[in-house]
Amino acid sequence: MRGQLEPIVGRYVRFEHDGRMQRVYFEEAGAGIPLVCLHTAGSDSRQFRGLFSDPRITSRFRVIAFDLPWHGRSSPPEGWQDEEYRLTSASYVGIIMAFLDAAAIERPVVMGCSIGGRICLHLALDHARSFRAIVGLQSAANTPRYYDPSWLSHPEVNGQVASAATVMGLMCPQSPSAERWETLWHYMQGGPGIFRGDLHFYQVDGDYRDRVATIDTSQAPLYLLTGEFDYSCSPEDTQETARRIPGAQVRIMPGLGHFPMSENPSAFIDHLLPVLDQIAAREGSPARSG
Amino acid sequence: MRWTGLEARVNDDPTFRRFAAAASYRTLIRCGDDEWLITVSSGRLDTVTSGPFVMPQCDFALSGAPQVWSRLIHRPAAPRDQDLFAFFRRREIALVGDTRRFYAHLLSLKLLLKHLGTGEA
Repeated sequence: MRGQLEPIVGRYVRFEHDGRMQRVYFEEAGAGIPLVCLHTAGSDSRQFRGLFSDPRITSRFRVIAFDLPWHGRSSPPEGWQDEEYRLTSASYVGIIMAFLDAAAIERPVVMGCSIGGRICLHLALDHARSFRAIVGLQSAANTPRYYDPSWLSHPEVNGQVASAATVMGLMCPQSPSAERWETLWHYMQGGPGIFRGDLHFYQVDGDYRDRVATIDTSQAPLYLLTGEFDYSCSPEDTQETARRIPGAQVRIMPGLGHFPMSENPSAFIDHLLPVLDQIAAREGSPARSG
Repeated sequence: MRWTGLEARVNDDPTFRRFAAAASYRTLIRCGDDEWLITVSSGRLDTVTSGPFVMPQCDFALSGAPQVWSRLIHRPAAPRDQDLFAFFRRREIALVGDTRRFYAHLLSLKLLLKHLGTGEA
């Protein structure tokens, strides 16, 4: 029996960033308005697998998701073995903008989750004109540190299993078991110290509480979608952030947790489609079919 | 908390057996004034002993009020009550002891705690 080919195509792009060569893996499917997706800390672009295969999205949007350097199938830069990986606001924004330039993606919609949702706020602050719209999933200006991430990379702890164990309860228990365990599998495949390095941005460096009030949503509409079961970026955290941003639009997603696009893709897409409809309407794109 | 028959429920769980394989640790659960000492040995839930204890020997302990534990183990869980770390964030459950061993066995521990649950899954 012939297998079922998914419509996803994966490629690598090489470019120089911050004085170092990067080899970045990305996947894409569909045609139309570019929609660039940013994965969560310690994971990779496979989290968006459900979006790539939904014709209600791919008929109007060119969905693109890339693995940050050190993540998924992207390479770490040469010399990685001699340094500790640590994500910062500057390095994160830098690699996103460099990737868009290298892959010749002009004025996309950007959608990121968790650390990706946080950096969406930074993009709205400093690069809004580069985007048609910005969609933050599980996005808030700050998350207080409530556990010690140093054990996630320690010679006496299996960091990949511990990373998965740390995040497993962030999902809604009623999300499909297969999707929840697939989400955890990605964490179990992360490189040593990478989740911890991303958490430096999430818990320490990327605190935007003092800045988000200056986001100008007239330059790029800002949508914030948060699953109600997420206690790391809770609905209250998102609503508090949105309260400071004139024009920010908030949707709380019942029955979803911290990884909406990965833990329950079909339920998440039901929440995402009205947002994409609004974006497409602004761009004069035809209404979705089906 | 469903302590009766916990050993059988946990040891019959294939996911627990997979991720607890070869694990050995002791954790103390403090629920208000009540205490239970859980011993996992060579990948199996070996014993569950109720207190009070004078000098319990354990790798780490988790302490919270009875109503807090009730929320954690209730099924279906209310939003943001479904996981131990949610209660860490709200400082409703405290961890003390060897945090290295806590992280080393975190996945099997979370799977074990699920079997204390009450109500429909």
